[in-house]
Amino acid sequence: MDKVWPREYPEKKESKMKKKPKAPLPDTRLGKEFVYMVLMPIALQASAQSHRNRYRENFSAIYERLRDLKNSLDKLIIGRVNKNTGVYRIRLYYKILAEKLILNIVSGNRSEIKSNIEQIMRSEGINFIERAPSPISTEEKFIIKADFNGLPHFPKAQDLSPFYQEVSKQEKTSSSQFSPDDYNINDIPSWKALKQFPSFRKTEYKIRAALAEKNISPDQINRLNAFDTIHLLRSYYNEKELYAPESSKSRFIKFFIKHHEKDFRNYLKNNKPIIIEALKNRNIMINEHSHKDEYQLFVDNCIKLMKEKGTVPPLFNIHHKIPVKDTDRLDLVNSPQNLCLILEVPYHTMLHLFDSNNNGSTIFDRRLKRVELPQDIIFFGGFDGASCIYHNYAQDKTKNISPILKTKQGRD
Amino acid sequence: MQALLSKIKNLPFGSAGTAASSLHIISMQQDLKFNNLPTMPNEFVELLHHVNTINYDGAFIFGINPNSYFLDILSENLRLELSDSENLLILGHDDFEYLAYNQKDNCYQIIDKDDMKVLETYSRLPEALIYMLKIENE
Repeated sequence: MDKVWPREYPEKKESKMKKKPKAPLPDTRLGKEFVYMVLMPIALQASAQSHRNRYRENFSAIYERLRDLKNSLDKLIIGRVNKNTGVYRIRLYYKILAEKLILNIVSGNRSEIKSNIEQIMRSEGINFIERAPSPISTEEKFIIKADFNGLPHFPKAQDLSPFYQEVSKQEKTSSSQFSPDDYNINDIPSWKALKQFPSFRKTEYKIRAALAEKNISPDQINRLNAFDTIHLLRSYYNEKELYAPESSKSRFIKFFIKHHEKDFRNYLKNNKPIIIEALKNRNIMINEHSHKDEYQLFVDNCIKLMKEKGTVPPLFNIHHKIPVKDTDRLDLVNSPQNLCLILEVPYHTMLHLFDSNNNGSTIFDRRLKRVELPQDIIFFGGFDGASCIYHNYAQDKTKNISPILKTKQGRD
Repeated sequence: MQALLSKIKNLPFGSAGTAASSLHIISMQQDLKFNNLPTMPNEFVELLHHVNTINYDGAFIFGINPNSYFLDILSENLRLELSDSENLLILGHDDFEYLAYNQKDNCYQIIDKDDMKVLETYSRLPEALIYMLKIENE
């Protein structure tokens, strides 16, 4: 009846008085992926030499955030895992790496930050391989870009050959001396490179028609360079008010969403805190408590545009697994097998930490290293296997050849 | 600029960030100067009063983002460490090219990411942005 039960321990009361309770970071159950989403953008930028001194209040806000993150690492990365298991040891290692990175950001150790990022990437199974730059010509590079982006612009006048510039100045006559059939497209030196891209291969007749309309003599087309040919084609599309060939970028996005819509929707659903964090990082706020489900609207809108226009969704980008400057196969450089949809920050930026730049003097020799992604990966949303989507390209090949085989077998 | 802004307004949700505050713009200009980088040109400042950061179809235009550093013009320029960039302020990029402001010549340049070769030059920001975002027909 008269049970005495101490209501409060004096020590506890004292400690409560001293420390203001802090709201811990919410456990999104996304483990280290969520930690990376908060930590990596700060780490990537903190690795740069900065003399910034004006945003003191923002610095303190960032440090506060890093402190919260550091205090929540146990909960976010390790979670409730038995200490005697292998999983615990692996997660503990991830936690230690994240902790080291936070400490180096706070103390401003630039070179250490970069080496921590490399350690994290290696611990996640990212391979670094020696780069093998391939001497790619300016014309070839222009063709690759034009194929990837779909002829959005005319080539620069100074890149056009004097011959083509002269031809362009001539007034257009109503009747041409030549017909499209008079041309052997293989006489255009750059056609060898252009025909390796499906979008340009389909334009063969249009190029011949454009040549005839410009009244260019068939024995002169060997004087045209790649810029001339693309200019010719772009002008033809403009004059005829035709849609330009679909870009490889857009084709890839449509290909991806056609085959993996369900997986991508699942990713966006399961990684909602990561996407909201990334949007918040761009000052774009999603009201999760509004009557309309704003996040769902955002997802639906992204997928609609991906399907209809092949638009890369916001926050994402397309990564070339074998970089354009390392490619020795023009026919593969913009093919779906070489492309991968990726979250721009932090992952795409991390992968490109190894690119060469003007000075190339980083702790890694950016000229020599690049990261290697699995050949069948089509979507990279995090280091966690569940955040990636893979595509079975071998099955596609079988599908493509099966009708041919069937016809052959039928004939036999 | 109005035509550009209406094109940007028509971009899907999530493409353009909300306007930057005057205080942040002033602080950023001081910060850029303090870090020996060119300051933002007037046209870009005007744009920031309407939209802060743009991300459309794989192209990224920087802005002011001191809280997270993501697409923050100062942080991105410092991270890129371009040695020949004394007169250049990188304003954005896509897979292949940078959009830069050349302070010395007071113009906007499209620069190849690999060899830093100038590919296009524009005297006005809207034309350069339309090139970068590829929104001629939007």
